[in-house]
Amino acid sequence: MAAQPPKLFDRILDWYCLQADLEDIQGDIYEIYEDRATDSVLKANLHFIKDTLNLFNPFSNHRKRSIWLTESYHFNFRNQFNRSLRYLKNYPFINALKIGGLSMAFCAFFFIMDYVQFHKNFDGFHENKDRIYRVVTTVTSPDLQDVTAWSHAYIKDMYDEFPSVEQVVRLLKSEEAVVVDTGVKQFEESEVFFIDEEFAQVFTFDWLEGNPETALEDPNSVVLTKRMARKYFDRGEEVIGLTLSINQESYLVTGLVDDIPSNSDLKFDLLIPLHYDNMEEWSFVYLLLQPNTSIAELERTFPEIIDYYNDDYTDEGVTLKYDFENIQDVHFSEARLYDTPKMDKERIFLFQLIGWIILITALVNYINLYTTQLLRRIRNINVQLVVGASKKQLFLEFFMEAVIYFGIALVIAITLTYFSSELLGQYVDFKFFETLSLMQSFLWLAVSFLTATVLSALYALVLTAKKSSLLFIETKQIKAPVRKALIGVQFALSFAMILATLVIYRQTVHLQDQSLGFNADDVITFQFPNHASQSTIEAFKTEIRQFSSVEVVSQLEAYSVPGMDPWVEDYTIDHSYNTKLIEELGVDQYYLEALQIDLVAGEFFDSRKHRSQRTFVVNKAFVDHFGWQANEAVSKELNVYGFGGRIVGVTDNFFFNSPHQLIQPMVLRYYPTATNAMVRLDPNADYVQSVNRMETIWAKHIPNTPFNFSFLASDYALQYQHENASLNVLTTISGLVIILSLLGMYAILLMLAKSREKELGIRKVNGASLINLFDLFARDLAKILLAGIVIATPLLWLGLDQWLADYPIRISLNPINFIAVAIGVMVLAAAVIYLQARKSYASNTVESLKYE
Amino acid sequence: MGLKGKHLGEFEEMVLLAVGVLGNEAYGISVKNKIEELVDRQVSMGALHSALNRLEEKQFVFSKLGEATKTRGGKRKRFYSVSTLGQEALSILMEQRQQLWEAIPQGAFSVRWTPNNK
Repeated sequence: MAAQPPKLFDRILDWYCLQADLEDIQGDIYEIYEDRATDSVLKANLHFIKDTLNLFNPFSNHRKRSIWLTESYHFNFRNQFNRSLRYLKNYPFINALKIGGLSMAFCAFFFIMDYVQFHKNFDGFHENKDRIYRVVTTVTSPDLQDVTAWSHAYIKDMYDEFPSVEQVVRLLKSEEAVVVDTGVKQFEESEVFFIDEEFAQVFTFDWLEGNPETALEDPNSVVLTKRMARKYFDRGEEVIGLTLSINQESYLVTGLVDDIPSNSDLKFDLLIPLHYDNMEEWSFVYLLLQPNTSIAELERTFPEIIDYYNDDYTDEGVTLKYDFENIQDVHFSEARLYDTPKMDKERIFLFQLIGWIILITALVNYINLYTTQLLRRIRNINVQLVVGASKKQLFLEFFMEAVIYFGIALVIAITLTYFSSELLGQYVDFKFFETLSLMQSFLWLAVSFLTATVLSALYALVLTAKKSSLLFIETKQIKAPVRKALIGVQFALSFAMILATLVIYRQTVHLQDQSLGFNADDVITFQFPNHASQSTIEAFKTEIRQFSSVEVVSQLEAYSVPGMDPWVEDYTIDHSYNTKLIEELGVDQYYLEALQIDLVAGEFFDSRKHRSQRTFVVNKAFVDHFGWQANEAVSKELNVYGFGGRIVGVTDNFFFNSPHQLIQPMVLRYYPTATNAMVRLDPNADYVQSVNRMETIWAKHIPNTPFNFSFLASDYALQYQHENASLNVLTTISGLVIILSLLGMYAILLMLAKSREKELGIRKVNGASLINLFDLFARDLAKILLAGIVIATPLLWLGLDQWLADYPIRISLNPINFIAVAIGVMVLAAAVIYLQARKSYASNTVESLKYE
Repeated sequence: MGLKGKHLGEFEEMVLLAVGVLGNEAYGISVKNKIEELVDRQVSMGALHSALNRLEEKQFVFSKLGEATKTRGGKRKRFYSVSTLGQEALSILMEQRQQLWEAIPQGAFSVRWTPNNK
């Protein structure tokens, strides 16, 4: 047998070619094909494909009549449409399943894709996004390596040494809350950025009023977002020229910016020019490259020049290394100290994958259910074929039905999406459909809609196209191996999703159940304003200590509240020359008491005995780091950030940051005059009342500044936000996936039952029980489900193990979880099988056995 | 003249000539091969068939189906031959070209066409 040309393309030719010309054209290309095939079949095939496509010339060889309609007047569009509607109406249950599954999947797809798009387009609205880079710093000392999102402010002063850099802008987020006084009301703001005046040259925000080029020239100017303008002046426009008092200095409003898109990492409320008074050594540094220059060039020249300025550090044994990340990568890069919130790329990829899997699963289910239904109307189709319906007309009919189903499903999905977006948004902590443009969502919609409709119609056509098999299909037992395999995949997927949810849940609970070494309950924290003098603060503290409900009042630095990123400082111990870096807290003598942390050796700070800034207490991890006994550390000499002093005590270990990381060595410096406070309240007292009383006293001592406090426990819990959000999303998705796979299974069962109707009838006549029928259905499906689970297990084990490996404190994977979830999934599957078996058992045997 | 409005394109002309060259043996493949052989130019099946169709529409060629054979998947060949109208069109074209060539002043071209020049 000679080589055969590719069938599909032969068919295509068949389809478009004018019937009268078909024979000789086909003959010609066959002849060439045979000729070429003696050399190389592959080449001949490729040429054949090329030829068939080449022959498609819309102006000469195509058919002149419409291929769709009215070869016979019995089959016109209206009749077909009516028929489609009738099928929809006549099988309400199975059609509801079909449409329900589709709409659920569409809805999930919309949500997931919006989430994915939101994160993928982070900071994508900046005009120069390809040229904006953030400089991050890796600080290395012999003991510690830290990567901070900040860089040295001096980069700005030397940027003319880099010809490829067009502009440098530093952004410094205010460490402390800023008090804004409108003359009528006071507000405390934390999203205040001090920035270089060239801000608008680098970042594209929507300036509603004011000149972006000049707005920040004057040091006492401020730029507001629309939201803030409304808050301060009750209007979102015409605010230029108004004045605000910020930290008791007068500022002129010179610009109004539209609210920051939520997919931006730079979320500011107020912009204030950076100048010598508010400058810090470290800040966010963003570079704008010259057009057509590459970052690689800068990466090469940067270190040399920087090293020249870095002498101070290198002398102390600390090295600084700078890296550049594009503004659009900032959202996905590894989290650094003082960094903006992150999203990891794998997670986004995974979500995208899940979105598509859900969609495809639903489509496969739809097609399965649809073909099952085709079996029911096989006689009808046969009659149509016999009286002369063409394949195209059948295709048109199937296509129309698909359009109707998908249309209904889409309408439901859009409605569902519209009404559930807010609720779901609250549940998973995400605002849906905020930034996705209408055009984009419409595109997603149209693409999924079209692909699905065409695919399902084509599939139905392929199934019914072979007239011979169509006539027999009714009596033939359907094996449907591909569809069964797909069911296996679906179940493996639900198994995986549920198990992953379970493991993540266990890990989260495990982390949150860790004994933290301190007690965050019943502690409130607040901040004293910059302008409050130490004596005012003391007076305030003394008064609230009188409350019976107040147990401890401790004063400390903002970055020393548990859950924050602590300061990192260099230190030397016992005058050894090796400078090292360490996490450092600045606290007063009540810190341990307020947090209920134990002391394991020595003593804690004492205002009568110890000098501020020059007395230190270390934690147990610090002592362990040097391999000392706790007592050995006491009275060692320590020098932190230029302040020399002695270690007087050792505290027990406590998780200053959440147990996502192990406990780091830490130094507590005695610093009783810092800006923040923690107050431990009596757990039995009415906290509302005590806070109200505190506020009254605050107003007396520190007027013109609102009293804003927060609960330490809830602030600290924010560190688990990531896991909690993932968990909610995963629970929702795995619920959906299991429903979809049960639905798919049901479709297969329906088909099996239908194709074996007579067999089942005979078995029943011969005395088969419900159990026998159940067994009959369950036998091959059980094998497939088991196979799916068995294949998924090792992959899942590896994947989850890898995920857990990122956590130093973690659960170990438990085979019992795997077994339990597997059994759970199987039980659900068995329930569906049981339903179908019972239905077959209860059906009238005569109906299925009678033969007309 | 009956040829008004029946323009003959360059490729069509070549196809028409090739059909003439082949005499009784002119069908899709042989025309393709002949052109490729004599003119050294790749011809795609699509272009060839639409040219043949156009020629037939303009009545420059007529065609009939041959006998079924065992090769070509049992499909019959469509044989073409040049009609009188086609022959007329070719000769008019040739004549027009010759006139144009002769009208070119002596020495204007550095290349001179002669019938024997390959």
